[in-house]
Amino acid sequence: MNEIEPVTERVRVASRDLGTTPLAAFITAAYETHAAAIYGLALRSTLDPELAADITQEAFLRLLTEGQRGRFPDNVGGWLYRASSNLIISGARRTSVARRLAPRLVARDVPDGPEAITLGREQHRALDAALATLSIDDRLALVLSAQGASGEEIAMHLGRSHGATRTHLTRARARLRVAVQRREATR
Amino acid sequence: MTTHARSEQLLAAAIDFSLTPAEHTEVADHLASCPTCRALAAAYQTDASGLREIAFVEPPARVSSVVLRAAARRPARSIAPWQLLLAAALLLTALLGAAAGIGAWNSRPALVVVVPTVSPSAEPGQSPAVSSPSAVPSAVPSAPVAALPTPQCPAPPQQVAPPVVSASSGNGQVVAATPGSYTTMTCSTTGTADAVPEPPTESLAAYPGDTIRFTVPIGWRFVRWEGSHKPLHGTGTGGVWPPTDLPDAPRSIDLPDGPLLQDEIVSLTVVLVSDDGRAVIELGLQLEVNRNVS
Repeated sequence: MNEIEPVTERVRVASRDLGTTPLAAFITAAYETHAAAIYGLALRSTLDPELAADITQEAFLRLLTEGQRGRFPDNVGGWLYRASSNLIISGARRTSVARRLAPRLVARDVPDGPEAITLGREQHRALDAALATLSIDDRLALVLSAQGASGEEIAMHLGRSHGATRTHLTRARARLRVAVQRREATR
Repeated sequence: MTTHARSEQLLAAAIDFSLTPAEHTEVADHLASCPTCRALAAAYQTDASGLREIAFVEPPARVSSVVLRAAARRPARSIAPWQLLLAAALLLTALLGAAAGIGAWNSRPALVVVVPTVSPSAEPGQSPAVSSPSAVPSAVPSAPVAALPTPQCPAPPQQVAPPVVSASSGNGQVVAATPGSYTTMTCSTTGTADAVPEPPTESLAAYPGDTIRFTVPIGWRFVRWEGSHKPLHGTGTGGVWPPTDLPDAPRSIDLPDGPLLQDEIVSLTVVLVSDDGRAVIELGLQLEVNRNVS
């Protein structure tokens, strides 16, 4: 009864005979419009350039897979935000494990130096450092807001209620303020 | 009487949400009489505008290179019945070749992975999806892949897209396998199983001594790889990398240092597992190593 049985399920992609060109144009346009937002969100949330690049790449490749299946989200930006927010949150949980498992594999892909990550200006560094003291959920919500998402949109991207999002953002701003103040005080 | 704490909360909330008229009046009245909270309101605005200035960052070039090249590929073709038969035959050849220690560079990377499952009695709702083409299962011996970690099959009805595998050297990065290109998935109720008859070969510039690294995106890990390299033109013996299990399940693998020559074709067969263990796929990758870089 418990014997090993091969499972070979082959389900073909329902490809809508889309030529390469429209799909490539769709992805290119999406990339040009949203790449800086998605990478910025991932970078500021995860504080890890390498992971942020992976998340950005993965979000767009998932969009490509959607397109290959003939599905084109109406709101591409919202779709990408949602996909990358999920990746950021799940990626963060996994990073510690990945780091532990693959310490010897980090040699080649040298991340950009800190100069490239932070903008040079002093107040941005202070803000960056203050952000780093917050939780990843706080950073994600704050950066979504900084990119122009309204409270309602943030709630939607993060899959939370309006009330929970308002409380969360309010507290995140208060925590950020305390962290910035602490840095200013010790300077 | 509005307290500082209450006013603080409303000031922070006002950045992302519209306050009710009552809240608005409340905070305005408090600000009129409280310089501390006026300063705080300004500070919140400074924080918010500072965040706006650091919120958008251009991704590194490797991301656009992988994404745009993946998008520019032609869509995967559908499988004709003769291709399934061919796939089965090739798989058999590859498996036999590998078993005999010959190496498999002459055959296309194996197109079918068979994942043993210990739950043959699928739940009623899931069984209709398990309708396999008759030609394939009978041709596939299960022993050579029995060492794979056993995923929990059958998977829930959720689509799993095969990942892009990219290859990088000191001189660049290319897509080594794209979703939908000659990949076979098992162990998901809906997966992609498209085959492209001629495996696309990407040219990767690599100087002698460069490490060539293959990377999978988040959510996937390598559990086994094997491969070979062989001159594209002329004579030469090339070499074989025997099957290697990767108990650490890394997200990238480096080709071992060795004499990779000009214009050699590197063929790899890798087995990937998704982080949740629900999908195991085998991918064939091909790269042409280009040393003609000036």
